[in-house]
Amino acid sequence: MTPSGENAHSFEQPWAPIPGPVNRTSFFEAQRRNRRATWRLSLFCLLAILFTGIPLSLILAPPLYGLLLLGLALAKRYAAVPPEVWQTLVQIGSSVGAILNHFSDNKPLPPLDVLTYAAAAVLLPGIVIQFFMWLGIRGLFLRAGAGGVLLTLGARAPNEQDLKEKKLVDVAAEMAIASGLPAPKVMLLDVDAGNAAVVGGSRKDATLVVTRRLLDGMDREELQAVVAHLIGSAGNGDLHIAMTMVSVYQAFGLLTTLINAPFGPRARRALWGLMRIGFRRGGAAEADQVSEMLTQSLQASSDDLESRMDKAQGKAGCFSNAFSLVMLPFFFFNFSLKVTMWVFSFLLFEPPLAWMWRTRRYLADATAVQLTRNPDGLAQALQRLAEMGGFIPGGKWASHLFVVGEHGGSMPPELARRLQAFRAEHPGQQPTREQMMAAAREVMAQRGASQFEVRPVREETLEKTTGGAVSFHPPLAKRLKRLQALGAHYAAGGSPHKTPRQRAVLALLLLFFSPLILLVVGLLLTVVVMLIGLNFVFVGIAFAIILALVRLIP
Amino acid sequence: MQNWIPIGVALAVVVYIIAAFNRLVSLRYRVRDAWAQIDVQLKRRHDLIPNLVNAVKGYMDHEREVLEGVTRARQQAMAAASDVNSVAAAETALTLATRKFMAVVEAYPALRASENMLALQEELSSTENRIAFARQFYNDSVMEYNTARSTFPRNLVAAPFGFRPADMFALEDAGARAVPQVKI
Repeated sequence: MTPSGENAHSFEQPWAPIPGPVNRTSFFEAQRRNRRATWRLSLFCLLAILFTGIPLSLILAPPLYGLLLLGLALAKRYAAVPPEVWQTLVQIGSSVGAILNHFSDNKPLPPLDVLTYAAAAVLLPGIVIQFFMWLGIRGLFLRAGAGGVLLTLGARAPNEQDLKEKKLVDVAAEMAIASGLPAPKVMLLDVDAGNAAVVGGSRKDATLVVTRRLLDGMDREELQAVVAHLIGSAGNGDLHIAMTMVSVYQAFGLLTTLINAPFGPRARRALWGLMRIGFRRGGAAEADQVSEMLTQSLQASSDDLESRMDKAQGKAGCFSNAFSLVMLPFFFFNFSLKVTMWVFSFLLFEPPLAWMWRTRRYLADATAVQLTRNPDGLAQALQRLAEMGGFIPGGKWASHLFVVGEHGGSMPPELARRLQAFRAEHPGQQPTREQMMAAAREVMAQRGASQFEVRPVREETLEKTTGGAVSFHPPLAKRLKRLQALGAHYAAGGSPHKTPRQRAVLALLLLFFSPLILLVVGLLLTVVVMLIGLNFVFVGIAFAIILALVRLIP
Repeated sequence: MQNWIPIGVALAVVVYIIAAFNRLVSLRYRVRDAWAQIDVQLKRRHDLIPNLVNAVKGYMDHEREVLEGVTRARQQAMAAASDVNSVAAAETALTLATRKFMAVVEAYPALRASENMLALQEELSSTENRIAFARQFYNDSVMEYNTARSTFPRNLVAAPFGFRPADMFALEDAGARAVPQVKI
């Protein structure tokens, strides 16, 4: 009994190879290609995130300088402030003012050195603060590990008496041997979904979380492939990458949480949790909850400042009216920060981030093939997962760590219907590989005659919490196509080959809609620019009033 | 300024030699580690076989030949010398004997259905897989090590420091690949 991959070719294959555009590659080649793609895309991500920092710094600058002035005004009462400080501030103010004059009064643009001086003075404080926030939060959460939230969903240790669960533990140990890593811990989730994830802090400290439904619906080969994908993913260092990826959102979340902290309990709870992590209290599970709280504050309508404002507006009376007037600049500051983050994450850094993560999925697929030497197993397993549906209630935040997205990828409706029909005919029975292959072949043959659409299924994942449009999981069809190139005979759900006519229609549609898309993008950017300007005015006025009040107080 | 160029080149060469040497050492350790892992898994199988034989003894007394075959193959495998080739040969014989044994077990429905036997069967197939995967990892490691030590320019570092090529763990004869035919 050698690993199934070696066995598979020793007897005659029960199916004929499906013809198609198969460009055979080796899994080593596929791994190299995906590693290179990761590098390219992560560079792109880095640039995109840096670029997002610019508008955020513009929004952060007025309150930061306001706070600095306030601090100086208070300090002046107790000690002499060196005159150089005032000179620098005046210089910054005048250079920024010169630029503003250019736009408002059509005065000539100031010389280049004044421009760079003003830009540096406005941008640097925000960028430095964001950078250190990101570094700090990344360090904190790296220690805690990724995906701990899954362990709070009722994950339990496997029961060694149960043959299937014993099999899972064995398969995990086998795959660990195949990859030369220590055997991972295994946890089970009793939910009605077929999915599996790897969580933890590093390749040496990984935990597999597998649903019971997956165990019931898969044979050993398929289970092996899924486990190989997860162990391969951990071995490739994906846990570390996932943490870094999420830390961008966490850092942005921390920013809004800090702003909200004086106004409500939710932000304070998140900060308290963050402090506990800093002092090594609470485990990986708590770290993930805090992470979720932080990133939730990025969502459009869920923070303390806004609920405060809503409450104040609900009450009539001069006190609450005055209160909302006082709060308005803070509210606006918070609002413009969030909108800017949303726009830039949606347009700029989320797509490359998602694509980068997708290359990691393909890489893990290729590694799984290397470990099992059985591309058919993984192809079959992905197909089964697509049937089962992978939605884990409460596991949304960690969904990028799963082997498939929450809908398992999309399956050709024709094939899904056939499989449903099979279940109806043979209750409590899974179709065998040969039966599924036969159905797939028929579907493929039909597709040659008449094209049908594969409806994409939207996935509720990480990107939903932040408003993105790109899935972090590659579509099933593309994964199967790549597995086919690695030697899988399984082509069901392979991407429908587009005819030239369809391509032409698509190109026309794109041509038609591209001005519209550009218009939307332009509008969003205009909104951001307006928000930056208004934020400057509102926060400037607010701090001017506060400073005047401070001066009045003896 | 002119003095710095040769010094810089020499420094780069030294850094490269150190890096190449360290990589070769770590790859060699991985090969050794992988070999030790195979040993661990082989021992696991050796320990498992008496349990298997005991579990079926009561059911299949007249299959004495098969039982003895497995026991004998186990003893030979445990006594084999520690070099790659003789271990491979002895373990191949043991693999064949256990396969034959399991094929015979399949012919006894009562035995096949017993819970104890199912657990043992899972244990055996997992052990076989572990051996196979340990071998695969060993061979992958050997391949990577051999490639690293023989490609230019790292071979210039490997030769003087005595990095010898490692052996693959191969199944020697074609018989090991065939599926056993059992007549009862």
